[in-house]
Amino acid sequence: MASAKTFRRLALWLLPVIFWIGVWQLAAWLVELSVEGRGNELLLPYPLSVAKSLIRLAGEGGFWKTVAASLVRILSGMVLGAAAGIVLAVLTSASPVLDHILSPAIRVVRATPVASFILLVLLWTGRDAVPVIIAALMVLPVVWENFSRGIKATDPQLLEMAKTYRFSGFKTLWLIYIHSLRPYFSAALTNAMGLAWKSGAAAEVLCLPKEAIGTRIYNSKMYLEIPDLFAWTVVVVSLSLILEKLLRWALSRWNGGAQNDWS
Amino acid sequence: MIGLENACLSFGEKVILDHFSIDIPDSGVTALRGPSGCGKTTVLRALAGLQRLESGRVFGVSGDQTAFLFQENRLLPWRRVAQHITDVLPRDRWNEARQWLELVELENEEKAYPAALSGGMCRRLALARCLALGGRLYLLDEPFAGIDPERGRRIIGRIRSLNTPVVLVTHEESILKVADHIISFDGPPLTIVR
Repeated sequence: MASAKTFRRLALWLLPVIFWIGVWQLAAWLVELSVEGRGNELLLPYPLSVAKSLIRLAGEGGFWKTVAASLVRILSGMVLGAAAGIVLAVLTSASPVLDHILSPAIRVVRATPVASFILLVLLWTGRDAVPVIIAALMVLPVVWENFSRGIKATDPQLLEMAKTYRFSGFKTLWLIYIHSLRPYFSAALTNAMGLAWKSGAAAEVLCLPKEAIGTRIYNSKMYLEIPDLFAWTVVVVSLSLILEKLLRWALSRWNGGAQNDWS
Repeated sequence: MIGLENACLSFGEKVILDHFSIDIPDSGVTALRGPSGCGKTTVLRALAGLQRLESGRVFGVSGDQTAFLFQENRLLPWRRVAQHITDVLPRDRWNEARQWLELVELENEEKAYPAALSGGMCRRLALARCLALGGRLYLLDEPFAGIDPERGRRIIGRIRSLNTPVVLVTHEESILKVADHIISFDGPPLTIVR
């Protein structure tokens, strides 16, 4: 019974993957037809070629070092952006004057094209720092907006109760705000994770740090190694999805744990 | 005596207190009764310092000397029953929590979350938390709503033995029967009937 259920879940998970690989295979075949046998590897390689490139790259010494370097950069940017977003949300929610001053700046950051930021930050800092700063800048407005919304949505009756029952500031934060903000925090972080990867990888492509997935993507394009370009893209997408899944799992455990014990 | 003197308050067009004055005994159990929306809760909130008056004053008590029970339970869904009590007690008095739960007959539900309690149990928990907070005066807004009259009478008897004056808003006949003083209102604007 349990194995049938597991099989069903696996089949449901695999179905869209198989479908889209099939679409890719068909598209690559159509490209090959249209170029009349002159090879489609430069335009759209077959999934199998990309898989072969991925296996070859994974066997190279520098692969995991490159992946780790990008991972550290983008996660650092994410943590930095999330922390700044939380601090700014607290400040703008606590003070209308600060809200008036800071909110337009945060909205400008959100609306500014990521390419402009990448080039500006490249001018101001070293190339290794750019992906970190760019990922942080993309994450910050998302976390700020979600957190601000969460602070505003905190039940005023509970806050009045906390004040009347003489809760300290820390107790009010711990017993009321943290719980009320939890769903907003989860939504902010899971959205921010995808953004951090997209913007961080773009920054790496434009700034070419020494060890970086973005640099390898750029080199693949330069040397027309298109299956490698696809393979590195698969790596970025996979890392982003895996980390998002891990984050969702950790947050759901945190939510579940809160129901069980908070003492 | 505690009370309000020459108090004025309105919510938009609706005048709740129009140069209203009242003396409330600061001993025993005083019950305030009257039709819904007449302004009883407003008087209680003003005494607790939760409602700012447009003019006039509160005398005989200040907000930080009172323990106020809200009309709504305002429990925290993510805190256990006993934690609701320890949340308002200083750390060195946590062992008192059980006594407060016994007072409202909830001692067997220490580890439950509010979602697992009935409406009446939640009300008793909110009452226990307010009593545990303590103060010179208890201000209780409909403390026995949803609690069966016999149990309500037992609980008010125990509250009386705490020797802290109580002012409560209630519609329950069983509680009115055991109150030391009853003040009846009409309104709005709030007026004392007798």
